[in-house]
Amino acid sequence: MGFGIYRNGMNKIGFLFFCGFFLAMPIFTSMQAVDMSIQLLLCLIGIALVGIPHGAIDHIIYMEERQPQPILFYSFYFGLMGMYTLCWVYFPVLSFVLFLLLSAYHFGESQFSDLDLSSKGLKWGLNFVWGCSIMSGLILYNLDELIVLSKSIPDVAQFVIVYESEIFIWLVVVSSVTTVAVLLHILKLNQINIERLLREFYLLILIHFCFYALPFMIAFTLYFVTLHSARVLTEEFDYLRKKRLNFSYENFIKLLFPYTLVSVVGSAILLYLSYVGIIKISGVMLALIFISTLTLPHSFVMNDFYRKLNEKVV
Amino acid sequence: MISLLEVIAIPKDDPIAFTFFTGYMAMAAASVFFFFERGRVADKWKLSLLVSGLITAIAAVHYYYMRDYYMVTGENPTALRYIDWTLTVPLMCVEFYLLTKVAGAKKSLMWKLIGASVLMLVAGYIGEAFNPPGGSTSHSVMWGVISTIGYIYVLYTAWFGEVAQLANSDKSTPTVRRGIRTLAWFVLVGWAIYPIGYMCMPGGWLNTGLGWSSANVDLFYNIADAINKIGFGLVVYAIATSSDANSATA
Repeated sequence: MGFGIYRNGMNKIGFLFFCGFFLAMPIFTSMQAVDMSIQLLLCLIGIALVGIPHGAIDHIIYMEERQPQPILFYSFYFGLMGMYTLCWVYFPVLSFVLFLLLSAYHFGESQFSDLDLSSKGLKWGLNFVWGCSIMSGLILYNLDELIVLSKSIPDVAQFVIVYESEIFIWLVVVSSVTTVAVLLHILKLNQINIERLLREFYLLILIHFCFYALPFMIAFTLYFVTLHSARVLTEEFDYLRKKRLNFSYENFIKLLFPYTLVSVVGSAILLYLSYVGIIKISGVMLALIFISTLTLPHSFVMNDFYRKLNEKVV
Repeated sequence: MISLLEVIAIPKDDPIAFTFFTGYMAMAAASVFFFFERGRVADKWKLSLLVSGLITAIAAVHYYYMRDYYMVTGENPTALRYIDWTLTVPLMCVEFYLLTKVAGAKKSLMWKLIGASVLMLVAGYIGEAFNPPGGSTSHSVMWGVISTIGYIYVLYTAWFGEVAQLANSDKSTPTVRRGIRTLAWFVLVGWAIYPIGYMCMPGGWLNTGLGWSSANVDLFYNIADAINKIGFGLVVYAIATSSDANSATA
């Protein structure tokens, strides 16, 4: 049951995105420039309720089957976070670019989590180009807004060099065309059917249109909350239900709640410390560092999780 | 003869006029096809084919008037457009009922779908026809959102709700299952073109937000009509002429 992630046609996660998009379109585009504080508030609510929980039980997902020494897992997880934080301190622009690339792959990986292609290189490539297509689209369509925002915050202003590089228009074209070509190739190899192909094309167009038409933060949150986080949460729930006896939605929420709460409170404290000036980094920069350092080990855990899922399917 | 010559003088740079004429002929041809082919299918599919023919025939008549209205006034034929849709869109919902009837669909399903489609159209009509001069974004947003709720209900029913469940039940056949899935795709992709057209009207959010032209309204509507009305009918025809559909018990 669940949300029917593995259907070839539209699944309920896709339906949520579709409805969210068609309802958000008239409301937000008619408001012309939506105040950044309103955008932030709406995004924070969506991210706190769905975005954060999707990564809050990484340790449980990883240890459910692999059962390593907890100390080893936590050393690995926090070690990666620490290394990436150091990277941010010494090479902020490089860390930022790495974060964009990592996110692109991670989003692509969750989009095609159910595809077990015979060629691992092809799967890796598809994940990456799909993610590059939507991430570069998000930046390209909102370039002016991003440059203005970055220039207004001193420690984020250094990233303007990335936005002004004019690479994004090429990235959108090349990665989108490559995504289409790879999907067609996979169709030719009979590893997806025509309905799945059409679904992916349609979804890719809708995501791009969403990023183009809606304000930056709203568009990204809509995508991140529905097509990425809700999807991962569903997969995690389906996985745990198979592993644990009588595992219900209630059990899942109870499992997520404490870790989500810790993450939300921890993030709020960090942002507060930045706001009152105890941490000498802007809230935006702090959020970027915090999210990216979490994304790195989370991507490794999810990569392992999807490998396990596909091994079971085989 | 004079009026005919006047009518066919389509400006070369007017894609909207072009699609009005193409739409009219395509709908008329599709009607002839569905009415003639109705005689070749099994009895239980005749009503479905008749409804398909009616959808395109009603649209053809309205397109006949709409193309002239557009050519003479250069304006959107909003009232004619919605009269056409008020008749044809509920008939598309009837198609869902007729196709799933073999799997045990009840009439309540048909009325629920018709109700949702009427909500979608009435709200759309108020949003478009009673838009103040120059366009009011708040007016078009409010009625657009209400209309979208009707659309989302039909979409949900086709993909996950009663229609999908009936199509996937044991009483259904693989052809009906495939056909319903194809119609659900029409609702997802083809029907989604209409909101884009709606968003292009004066005061619509694709105009105010992205600077698109309100001339695009009819272009989007004409393309969507041709895809959906003829496409719907062809899917029904494919189901009716397939071998397993004819061998299934009614």
